[in-house]
Amino acid sequence: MQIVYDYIVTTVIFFLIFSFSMASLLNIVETPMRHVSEQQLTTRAETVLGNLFGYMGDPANWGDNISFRPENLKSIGLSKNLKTDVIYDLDPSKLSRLLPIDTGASVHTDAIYKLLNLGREYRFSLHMVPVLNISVTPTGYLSDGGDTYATEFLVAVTTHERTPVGNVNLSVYIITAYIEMGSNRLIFDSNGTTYNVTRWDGNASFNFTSLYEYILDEYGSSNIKFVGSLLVVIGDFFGMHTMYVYPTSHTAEVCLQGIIVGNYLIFEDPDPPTRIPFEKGKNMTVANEYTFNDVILTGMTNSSAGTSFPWLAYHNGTQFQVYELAYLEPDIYGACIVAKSRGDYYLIIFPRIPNVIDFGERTIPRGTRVVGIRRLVFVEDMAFFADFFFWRTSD
Amino acid sequence: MRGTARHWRRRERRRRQGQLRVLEATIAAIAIFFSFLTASYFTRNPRSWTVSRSEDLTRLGYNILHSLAVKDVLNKTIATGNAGWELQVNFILEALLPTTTYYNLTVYRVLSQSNGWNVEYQIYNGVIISNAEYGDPFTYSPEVVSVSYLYTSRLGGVYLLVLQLSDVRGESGSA
Repeated sequence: MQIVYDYIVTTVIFFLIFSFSMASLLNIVETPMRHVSEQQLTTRAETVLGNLFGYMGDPANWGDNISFRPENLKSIGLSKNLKTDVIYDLDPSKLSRLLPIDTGASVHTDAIYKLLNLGREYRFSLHMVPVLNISVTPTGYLSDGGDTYATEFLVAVTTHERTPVGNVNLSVYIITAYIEMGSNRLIFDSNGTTYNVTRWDGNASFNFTSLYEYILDEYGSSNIKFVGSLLVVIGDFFGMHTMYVYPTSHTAEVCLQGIIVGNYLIFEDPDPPTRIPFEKGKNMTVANEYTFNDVILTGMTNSSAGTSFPWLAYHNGTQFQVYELAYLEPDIYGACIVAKSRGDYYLIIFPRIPNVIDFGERTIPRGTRVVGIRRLVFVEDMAFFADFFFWRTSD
Repeated sequence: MRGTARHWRRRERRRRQGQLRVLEATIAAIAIFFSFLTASYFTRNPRSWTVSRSEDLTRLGYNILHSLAVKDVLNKTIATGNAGWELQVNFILEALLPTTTYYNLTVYRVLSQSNGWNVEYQIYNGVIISNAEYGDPFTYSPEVVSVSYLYTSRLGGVYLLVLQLSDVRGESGSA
């Protein structure tokens, strides 16, 4: 009986030795294994970001050609030009196609995962914001004939983290649109560019009272209808550019915003899809371009806008209007058009470079090991921060 | 009777030997356990976020310095040598780098000696270009990266930019 007890005690002791040894070993081995796993995740994240930002994709012009479907893409890449000194030079049209607007032209996130060969194992979130955050606050008004016009503005410039940025060179101008009711002629007007530099608190003031007094005096007749105006602000911080367009319309009429993809202007129709409020061929007479650094008003005389509507897209009950332009100057930073709906005129803005780009997953799952990468990227001359978050779905 | 006593003594010896074996095994188990325990205290495993963060900081540093070079920012600031250029570069770095990052930029002027083979590095910035106002975060930070960038201006001046980066999160950070 004594021998049986000895064996039992020995077995227990060996079991304890084994358990303690395994526990200690696992404790020591687990951390390096986790490190290796995270290192693999970091490497994969760098590779995916490199593929996205460093390549043009196949075909290289997939951004401009909206008839090219995502499923026909051989590879994805957002780069505009590989033969440049700029590390990350991104194509605005490709970025516009990533916007989660179901216009029929947008490339869905699932298609990108497939093209990047991520399967269901990995997910990412890409958030792009301008290096400079510009905001505009009206500070002074001018009243005329019952209407009130914002004429003085405070422009505030901060960083991505809301720190005020001084010494930013600001170029600001106003674009106004009128309709000459008798001849149904559309007039775009602009003042010369006004310059100022932000103070230590990141603020700078602009006064356009005299311009508005001139406008109201010049176009104040009864057969002129003021459609709306845009305040275009360009910030230059030692070569890092940011653009911001602020609608200053005095009326309650909405100022719509669309996107430019290649030679196409796309915007969401605010009315129910059962009604098509914009009269084809009549409502859009001319498109106006706003250019960088200086104001060059170019009537797009060779534009097919107003006469050609290649297709009208309906997706998920939401109505989008797509206008094809015969030509769009490659160096412009936006366009605006006037459209008519139920007797009212709207100003529709189409920035060529989206102000904020969110792509991929909307939320990062809690408790997941996430690799966060920040890079400075350029879209034309505009500087953006690209924050890329990458994780495993199985963690 | 004598035989029984001998048999009893033999059994007693065996029992004691068995107890000793058990005691030896117990001591061995305790010794192994404590050796693993002690070894685990001396083992310092690398913290994952720190490793990946230092690599990322290096890439970010190159990304920003190269972008400043190709966008002509360095030409407008450092190469001009105008009074206060250090402050301008400080403004730019403060805006471009995340607020969770300490930075310190040292600019050296690269001067060629008369024989044409040797070069001399002369500190060019008269004012410290850094956001570390108090203490020395680069000494106590677990991971500090240093990015060197050689820049040739349009005016022909050659400058070596050494950007030190460190994460504000320090020891308490996690991935």
